Amino acid sequence: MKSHGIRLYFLYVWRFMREKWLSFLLLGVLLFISGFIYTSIADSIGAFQEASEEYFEKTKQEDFVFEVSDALDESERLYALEECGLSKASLQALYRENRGCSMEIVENRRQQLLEQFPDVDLEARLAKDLTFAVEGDNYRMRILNDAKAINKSHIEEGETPQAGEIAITQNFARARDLEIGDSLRLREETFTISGFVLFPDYNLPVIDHVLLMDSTHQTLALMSDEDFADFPVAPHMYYAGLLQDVSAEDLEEAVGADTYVQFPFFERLVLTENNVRSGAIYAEIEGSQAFALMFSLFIAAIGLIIILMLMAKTVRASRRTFGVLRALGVPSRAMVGPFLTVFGLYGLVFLLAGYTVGHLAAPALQDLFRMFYLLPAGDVVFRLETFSVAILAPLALLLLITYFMLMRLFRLRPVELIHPKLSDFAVVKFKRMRNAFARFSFLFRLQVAFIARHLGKFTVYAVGIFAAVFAGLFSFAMMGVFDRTLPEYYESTSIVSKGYCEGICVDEENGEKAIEIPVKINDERGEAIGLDGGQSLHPLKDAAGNDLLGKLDEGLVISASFKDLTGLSRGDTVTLRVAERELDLEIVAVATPYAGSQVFIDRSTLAEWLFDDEEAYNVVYSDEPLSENAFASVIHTEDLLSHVESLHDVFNAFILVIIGGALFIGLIVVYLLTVMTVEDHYYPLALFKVLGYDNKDIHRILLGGYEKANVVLFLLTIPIAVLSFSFFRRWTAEMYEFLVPLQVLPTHVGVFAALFLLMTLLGTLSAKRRIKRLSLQEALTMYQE
Amino acid sequence: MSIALKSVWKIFTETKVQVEALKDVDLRVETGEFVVVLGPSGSGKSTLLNVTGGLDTVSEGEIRIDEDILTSYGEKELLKFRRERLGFVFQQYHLLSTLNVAENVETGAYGVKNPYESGEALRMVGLNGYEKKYPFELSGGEQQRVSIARALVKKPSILFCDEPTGALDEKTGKAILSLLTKLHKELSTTVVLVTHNAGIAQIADRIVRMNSGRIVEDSINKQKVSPDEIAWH
Repeated sequence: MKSHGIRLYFLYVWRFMREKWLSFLLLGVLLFISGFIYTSIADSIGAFQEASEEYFEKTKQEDFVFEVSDALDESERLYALEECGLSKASLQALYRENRGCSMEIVENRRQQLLEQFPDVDLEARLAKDLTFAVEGDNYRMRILNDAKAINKSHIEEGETPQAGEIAITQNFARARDLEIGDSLRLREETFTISGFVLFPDYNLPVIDHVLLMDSTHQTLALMSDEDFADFPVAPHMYYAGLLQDVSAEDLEEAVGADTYVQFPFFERLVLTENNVRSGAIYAEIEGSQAFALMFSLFIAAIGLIIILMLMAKTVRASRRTFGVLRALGVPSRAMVGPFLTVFGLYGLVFLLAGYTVGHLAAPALQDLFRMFYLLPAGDVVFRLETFSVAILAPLALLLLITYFMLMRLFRLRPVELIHPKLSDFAVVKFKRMRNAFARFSFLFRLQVAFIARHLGKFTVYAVGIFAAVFAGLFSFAMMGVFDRTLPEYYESTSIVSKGYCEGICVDEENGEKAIEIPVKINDERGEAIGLDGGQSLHPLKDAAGNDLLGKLDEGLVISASFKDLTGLSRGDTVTLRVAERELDLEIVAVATPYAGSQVFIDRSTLAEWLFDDEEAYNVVYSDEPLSENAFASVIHTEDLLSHVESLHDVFNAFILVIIGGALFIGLIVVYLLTVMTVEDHYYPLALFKVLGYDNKDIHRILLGGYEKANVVLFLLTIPIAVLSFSFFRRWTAEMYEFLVPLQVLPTHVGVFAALFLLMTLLGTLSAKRRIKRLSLQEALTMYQE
Repeated sequence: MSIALKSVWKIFTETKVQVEALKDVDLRVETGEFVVVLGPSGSGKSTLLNVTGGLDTVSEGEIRIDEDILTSYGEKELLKFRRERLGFVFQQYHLLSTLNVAENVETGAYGVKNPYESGEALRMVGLNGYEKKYPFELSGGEQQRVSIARALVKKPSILFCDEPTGALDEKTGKAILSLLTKLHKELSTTVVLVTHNAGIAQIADRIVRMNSGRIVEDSINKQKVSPDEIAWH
């Protein structure tokens, strides 16, 4: 008899859910998405996180970096002259003439730094960059010396290269169909691929430009020590460091103004943990995990609040039934049990499905991450932590909410359940707010009254819509982000190739002379570009389209992004520094488009200052393809753009997923909440119909408030989004030293507004149908306020 | 405004069972009359009120209110007709808890030409100064007065009352009936009141008795009494 009764309660809950099948299905979808997002990201990152931590430990990943200038200071130049008989201005120039001599200076610098900072270990890191071809297409390579103590190489597969061999990154090899044993032609020499290598110092994905991190278009490489030394490219270098008896903060404090005076070659200290140049990418991955957790919790929270509402609805609809059952002496647990069991099982099915699909998708996601991050792959295994967060936590919350909602009801006496009192809660709480709208039209006051009645639900609605609009606008703002960085810049020029000379160029006739050199501008790092006023391949214009080449005689022209990064503007005087050389210049104009941290200067002024020769230049711009053999390094605009294009495609797919996801979540929120709004208001709806209101009036009263709220929320989200994007730009500028040129254009807002409108129309379609179908007598009898 | 029902049938078909709620009903109510429809539960009196008030459709027959043939109207026309011409008072008051008294009354005036001010309607039902109160702050009798004010604010030609005292005690119930008879006299509104309480029927000009979906008696009330004098059942 007892079990028969319980079966009936199960049936009651099941029928309730069946009646609201679409709401419950959408709720299930939200739970599925929440489980999927968290599991796929947590499992994929977790997999290579473990492998990476072991790898960082084994390879002694750097804690910090001392960046140093390539330019030799006075004492070093004197050393080179006296000890090696060479008069050279830079380490690279010296390296080309006398490798041993330059390495003595590198070691001497290291010793000086170690004397000053005895609680750290330092090792010189040398890197040689070059362009090379695979089946006719050009790619970039950075060959690194085989470090002995810090940032040691890690062979993922194959063997450490011996003479005539080279190890490259696996991502690149896979993308270019290269295998161990294949040959690579580098600068007239042929190397056999001996294996696949990784390095832990994460300035590595970034060659030439911070935004180009696609490891399928560029590779790191390892050679034998002899081959590296003999390879005919002068290296650039820095010192990788490990903290011994000092904390990062103390080291940062110890590096003061004196350091720059004492060591003219010293450029700056970079704590690599939080920097895109180094282990920072790893920190960024951890950030992604946190983001995934937040995002899935946000979705789960929306789902749980919707459950709360559905439960509140169930409770209200079941009040009298429960009252009668309580009056008949049925214990609370007999009624609570079936609710907990059915809701729990239902939630579990979707969470498990989300978890399983997420777990299965994790290896593919890991591969996607590894396209940008050069980290060792790990096995995707079952992780209790992921399982708990993805399933047990939301499930426990779901059951707790259900339990407390029901127990709140069961604390009432049977008679209170059967004959509920008039609710005064919403009214008392929002009386003051309601009075504030006293002067508005009756229709408007009605709309406010209906929103105020379920303020909790409206809050969820508002948060859901805000999140959907924000995510959508963010995606639109991301559109073309790469175009706005490199392609726009290169497309604005007529440069087909840039040929970089080893040191100063000598009699290159194939193009226009220019200088490109890293400098310090006040305390900021930047790139000085020396241009001739009469050159034609590299235009320089301001936002209004005015030609700025003529202004170079008057002072410094800075790029718009450099202006944004530093806050410097026209009229400011800045000091350019290279080693101990300094040059004060006034900023005379700001150039567009976005072009990194670039400052433009008259080439002869720059040449005179840097090389004591106003005719000097170190790069040639050409409107024809330059030969690889004639220069130390050649960058072809076309290659660069094709590289950006592949990143562009990945990003576009990512953006479409976010836009689609935002609209989908928004659609679910709008649908569930408007349908619930209609259901919650069956009684007033019926009453309005009795009083002679037509469907349009009722729709306006009930959903009109939500429609107005949509417009307000949409309009409010735009400035919030713009401010957030600006904050995001500043944050990335501070953290990673580059600007993400997010841009909210009126067309973006327009297109998204249209999509948003479509979403809300679809969402409210069902609500409108329900209003139309409403039966007066039934509603008036069933739903008494 | 007169009401005329000719051969009205209302058959509810729920699952496989057919229920004949109204069977061949003929009825005429003259302008300004106060008619009570009296009958036990299930006699069809509420159904009669629903179809006459345009809240439900008939299965067969014709309903006219003056020259308007309600049975030929579609949903939109019925809505418009109800909005402009008819007032309803229910047993359960049906006030909206989130609206204050004045706003509840205003819901009855929405989209109506030249209605009373809500304050004026409240004055007519003796609720001066209650405008800002909310339903939960009122007694049952006061809530019913608000619902009457809501029905009257549009200046209806006909007032339909479905068991208006059904949820009230004797004293409050009689006060509500006094109010209805007073308003009927002052405003000359046609009133159709449905009740199972035979005592209440004594305040009417005419009494229509129903049983099993049929009108079994339709007579002028020759012993009309004031609400204070009725025997409360």
